[in-house]
Amino acid sequence: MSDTLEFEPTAYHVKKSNAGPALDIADFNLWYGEKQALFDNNLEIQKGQVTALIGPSGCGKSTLLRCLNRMNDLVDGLRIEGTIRVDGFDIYGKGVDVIALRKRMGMVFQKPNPFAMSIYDNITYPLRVDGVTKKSILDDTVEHALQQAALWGEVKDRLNDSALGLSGGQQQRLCIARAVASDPEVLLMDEPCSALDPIATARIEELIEELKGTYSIVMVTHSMAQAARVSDNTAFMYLGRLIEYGDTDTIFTNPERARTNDYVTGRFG
Amino acid sequence: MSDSAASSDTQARAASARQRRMTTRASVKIGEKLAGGIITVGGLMVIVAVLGIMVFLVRVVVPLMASGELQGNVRYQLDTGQDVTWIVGDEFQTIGLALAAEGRVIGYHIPSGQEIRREQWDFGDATVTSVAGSLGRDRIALGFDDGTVRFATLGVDNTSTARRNLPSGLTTLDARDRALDGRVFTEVGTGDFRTLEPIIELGDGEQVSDFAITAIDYRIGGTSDRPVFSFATLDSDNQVRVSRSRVQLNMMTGEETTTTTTTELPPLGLEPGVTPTGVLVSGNADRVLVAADNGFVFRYDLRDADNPELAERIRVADDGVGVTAMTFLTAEDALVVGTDAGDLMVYFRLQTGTPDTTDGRELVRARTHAQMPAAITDISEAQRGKEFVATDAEGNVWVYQSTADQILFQLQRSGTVTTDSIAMLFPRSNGVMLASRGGEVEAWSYDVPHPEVTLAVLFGRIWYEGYSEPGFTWQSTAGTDTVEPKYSLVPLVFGTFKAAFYAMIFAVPIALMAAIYTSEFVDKRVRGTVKPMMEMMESLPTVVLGFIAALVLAPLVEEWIGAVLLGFFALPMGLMIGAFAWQTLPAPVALKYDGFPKFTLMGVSIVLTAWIASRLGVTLETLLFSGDFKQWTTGRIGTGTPFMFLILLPLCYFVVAWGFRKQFGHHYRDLIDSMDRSRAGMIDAGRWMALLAVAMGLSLAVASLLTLIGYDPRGSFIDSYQQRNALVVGFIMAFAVIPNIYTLAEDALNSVPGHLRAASLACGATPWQTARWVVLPTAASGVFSAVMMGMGRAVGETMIVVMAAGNTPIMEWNIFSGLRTLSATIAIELPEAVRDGTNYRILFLAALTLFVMTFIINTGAELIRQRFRKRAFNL
Ligand SMILES: Nc1ncnc2c1ncn2[C@@H]1O[C@H](COP(=O)(O)OP(=O)(O)OP(=O)(O)O)[C@@H](O)[C@H]1O
Ligand SMILES: [Mg+2]
Repeated sequence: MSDTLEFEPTAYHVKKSNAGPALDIADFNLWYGEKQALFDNNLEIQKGQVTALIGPSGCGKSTLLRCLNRMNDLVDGLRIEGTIRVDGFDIYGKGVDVIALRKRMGMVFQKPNPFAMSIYDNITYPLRVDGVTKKSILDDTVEHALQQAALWGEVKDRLNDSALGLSGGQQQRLCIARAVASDPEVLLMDEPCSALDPIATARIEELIEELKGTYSIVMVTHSMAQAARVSDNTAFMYLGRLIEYGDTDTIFTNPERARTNDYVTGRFG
Repeated sequence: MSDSAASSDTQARAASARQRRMTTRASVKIGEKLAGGIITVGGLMVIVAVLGIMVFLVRVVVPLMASGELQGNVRYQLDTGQDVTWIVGDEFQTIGLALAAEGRVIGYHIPSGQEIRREQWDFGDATVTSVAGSLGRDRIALGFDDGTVRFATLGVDNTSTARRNLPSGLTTLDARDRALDGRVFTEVGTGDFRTLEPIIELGDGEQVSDFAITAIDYRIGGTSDRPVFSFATLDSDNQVRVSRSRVQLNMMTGEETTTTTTTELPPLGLEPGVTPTGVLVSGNADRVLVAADNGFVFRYDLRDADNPELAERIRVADDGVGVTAMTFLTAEDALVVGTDAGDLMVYFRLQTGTPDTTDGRELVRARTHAQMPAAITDISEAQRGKEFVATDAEGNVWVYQSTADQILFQLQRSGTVTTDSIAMLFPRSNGVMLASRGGEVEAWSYDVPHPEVTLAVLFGRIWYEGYSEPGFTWQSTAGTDTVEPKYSLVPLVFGTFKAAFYAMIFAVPIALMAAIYTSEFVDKRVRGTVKPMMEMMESLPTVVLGFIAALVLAPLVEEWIGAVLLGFFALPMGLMIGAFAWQTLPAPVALKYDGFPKFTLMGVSIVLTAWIASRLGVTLETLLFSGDFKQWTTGRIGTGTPFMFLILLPLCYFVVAWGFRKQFGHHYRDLIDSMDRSRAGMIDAGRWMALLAVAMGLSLAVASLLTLIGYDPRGSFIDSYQQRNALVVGFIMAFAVIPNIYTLAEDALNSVPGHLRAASLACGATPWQTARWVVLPTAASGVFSAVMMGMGRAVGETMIVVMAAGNTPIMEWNIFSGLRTLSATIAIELPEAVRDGTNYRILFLAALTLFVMTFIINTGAELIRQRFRKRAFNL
């Protein structure tokens, strides 16, 4: 019991990107009503890199991820402290345009969630809500996004079919295509492969590999192997606290914290 | 305790535990069975109850459609000696009277044919050549071959005799009836005896013509204490005469004097060889009709008694076909004409303004009944209702119901008899009596419980007497005996839908907006208070709503109609202005006062605009509707332009706004994005006003154009104003329906999976965009079914319409006129309806129709919801 109450400070050994940080999370605390879910999180997401968030179930990975594009706003009784900065401005500051913020952050969810519309309309949705109606722009975007999501070849002949007719893996790639269609700066992914088979998972991982560099990617995953394969940096969270954040290789081969070691070697969690 | 005892104890416990696990206790089993049984029985009971109601309704309704049933017939020969010229029978089909041409009157017992009375009238040398009866058939006028006319009474008097006063020495006629001195006694349920006695009296005569009277008609009009006897005669010289006899009581002597004035009508102007075949006179002697064997009917207009005119000459039959018989139906507006080709047609006298007749009226063929096999020999109308009996030259006897255009009773005898007989319908239209010239009498009784009802009457266009064209009419309680009740359910179904339609116009936008608002825009706490409030609203008794509508809202709206109309436009505009004003506030201020102060501002702006609208209402009326809206709606003053302008304004605004976005949307967005909040707000407000101005211009232009090409909304969905109207009903009924729609629509919107909402928001969509593009389409069928459920409720709603709709069964979409719904009709009329009567059964049919309508609507809604559920699971 005692170890849940006493925490060492976070261990950092981050692999810095040349472009600097995309997101700067500082002294971030979060409460769901009375219950605190995040404790003093400090981390910088590096631009153009893949950052993996790992940790046992319920440790607050999704919570932290949802804070990055303020998807938590609608939760009743939510309270936060601390700052999250994008390009120097605090996204929780007064007068922030949440809609504009979300446009800069593409998000992919754990479960594929295409709209009950055609494939084409799904992908152009972020543009259409922006008031873009020009056919040529929309066409280009669809092709580009689908190519980025490695789905173009499979669906190019059925763009006007319902997106609900796609397989689970295809749907998830469609959601990725939708997330990148509006050309965001950051891509937030919450266990994007949890519902997929190994082949589809491999495709998505390939995709993340390709997208990295263009986008800063934050990915929550329960698969150590996946985190090790695709991410540059890994953040290990435990009970709402950031235990260790740093270079993926180091986290998986030679972590600084014993708890990280226990987790990545599968001794608990 | 020893070891072994302990171990056996544990063993026993283990064994019993095993036992317990392997068998289910009986009580559990019984409980399970019982619960299952009760649930099954309960469910079945519900189904049985619903089906039971259905079956009950159907059982009450079915006799409406029942066709006639022959109940019995008799046939015998009377000893009349001479040609029978007239017969009459009482309403119980007990005593018949037959008059022969040379004056012998025979009273007989109809069921058995026994003679009970015989009398000889003294006609001198004259012979009866024509007979006509008043509507009740008991007063007759006889035309003679010497040109005289005599009046007589030939009827049956109905009194009651108590058992103890029953005379002795009765002879038994049959199982039911006994006779004495020409009277017939029939025991009725109470122990009293119905006593029927023939009245056989011959009155005075009058010399009308020098020629034989070939046709005569006789009517009694005026009032019962001051009757006017009118008769029209046709003599063998083809001269038509009308006579009116007035009975006057001398106050001093108490003596009655009869004064008769006879008018010779202008000549028919027949070609040689053409013979008139019949004459008819109306009850107040202002019309005389003559039929001829060349297929023509001649109509005299006698409204100016001193100056009679031959108003119309009309061919009613094909060339070469003659008119052989004709009669009025009870209200004397319908003329039944029979031809020697067997045709039976009904003509109405309509005010058409035609120049072909002297009085601007003409006979118009309204119906053609089923053709009889041979030439029509006689037509005799019923004393009540629109039935008549027609006989043809081959001895066929058919009884028609004219309005419903159906044959109630059909005696097919072609080829078996060839007679020239006279027929009559018994007063209750439930039997026919026929007498041949030779004195052979036949009588049939039949039972058609509701002769005036057919499917066509209920749901089709029917041309009623006194109407200028066929139509759908509901008028279940006729004012007088001669006006038939009219049972078209169509106006009621129409009224039901009209009320529902106008209710939905108000309810759907408000309910859906509220549902979207609470499901998409506010947090759970607000939702938690709004929803129960809506449910409370649902429990508002509709009788209270109806009361408010009828006694508060209707007079208020009537008085403030200008303000109300203005309000429809001013309120949204006020809210828009408020929103723009809010936009111009600097961001920090706006954020600080977001929430409650903003709501207050909204409330204030609503109240303010309502106030302004009430101030400007009169001005609006003056400006657009020539000062008086109610006058304007009648179409007497002003043009349709102002109203079309108002109606088209929202549409034009959308068109203009859409066009603007299409053309300048990009530039405008860039411009707005480059400015700070309050400046952008001001610019946006300016843009809105500019758009509004353009929209107003456009709307005015279109409205003027419509007026130019001759379109005027007045007369269609705008017409003369009534205080209790569809606007008021729709508005109040919306209150009853909104909670239904709201609750169901809210549930549908809420059941849209949150991850779709999240996906949309994460794409950078605003909550409104999310609601509009993702949530609504996904919940579309659920929302649609909510609307349908609301519709079902509106269709079945009773109290509000009873109290506030005016209950006029008219078929017009006019929002300012009243309506009558199925449910209101049932509520109003059922307490008054005679059990098992026509009206009673038709009200049950109305209930069945309502049941079916709501059933269809609700089933449709349910099917759609099921589809929706399936789709929601797929997501
Ligand atoms: N909407 C909410 N309201 C209240 N508590 C919540 C809410 N969402 C999450 N929590 C709580 O916050 C904590 C962190 O939840 P979170 O979903 O972030 O975990 P996670 O790390 O993503 O877990 P998993 O790996 O299982 O997805 C949990 O204890 C959870 O119960
Ligand atoms: Mg999670």
